[in-house]
Amino acid sequence: MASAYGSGGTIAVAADTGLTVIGGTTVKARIDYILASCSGTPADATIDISVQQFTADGTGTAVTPEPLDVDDRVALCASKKTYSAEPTYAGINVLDLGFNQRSVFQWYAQPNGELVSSKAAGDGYGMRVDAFSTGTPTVQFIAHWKE
Amino acid sequence: MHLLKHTTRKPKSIITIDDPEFNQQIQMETKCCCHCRQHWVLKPGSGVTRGYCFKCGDVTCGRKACGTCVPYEKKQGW
Repeated sequence: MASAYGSGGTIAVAADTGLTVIGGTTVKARIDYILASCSGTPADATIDISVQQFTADGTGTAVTPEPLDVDDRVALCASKKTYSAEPTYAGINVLDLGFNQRSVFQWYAQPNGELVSSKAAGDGYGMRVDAFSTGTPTVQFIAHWKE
Repeated sequence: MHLLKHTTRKPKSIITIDDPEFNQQIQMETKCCCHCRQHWVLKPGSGVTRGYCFKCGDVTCGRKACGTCVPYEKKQGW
């Protein structure tokens, strides 16, 4: 039975990656839940976010994935946040939406709708902020996946 | 209040966005491309041309690159 894991990251800069889930060479990450919300002072701004597949990871701070079942093993897939060098994206926005800063965005995959990484090293999915309509709110991403 | 508008029989994902101003949760269903797994919200009458793969038996995003049948599962090495 697949084990489920979660990780999170924040980003306050537009056109930058907030969180990535990187598949392992022996296991695939099947992302089935993504949440995006904003912290800070509520304001009316549009947050344009996208989820893209990348083929080569960039330079970021590692996040320790948390097992959703505390008795599960340590995750084999990796997760990163706060990128100083962006991953190499494949150029397809598998998910591309905008939402109000006061809102909470959630994405639930249905069967056969999960985002699956390949077993190639450095392959995964990145959640990024494409643009803010005004201001620089802090966007928090949370992703859950099975492996 | 919870707003749900069914737009497809077999959605590949569900998006929810909370609207605190009107105390509503807006829920949208998506389809996804069987070749690149791009998800999109169904908007009847949007005018966007999508495709259909008769080998996969599923919809495609309509991009030229996805006109040739290379299933997502094959790309990802299942």
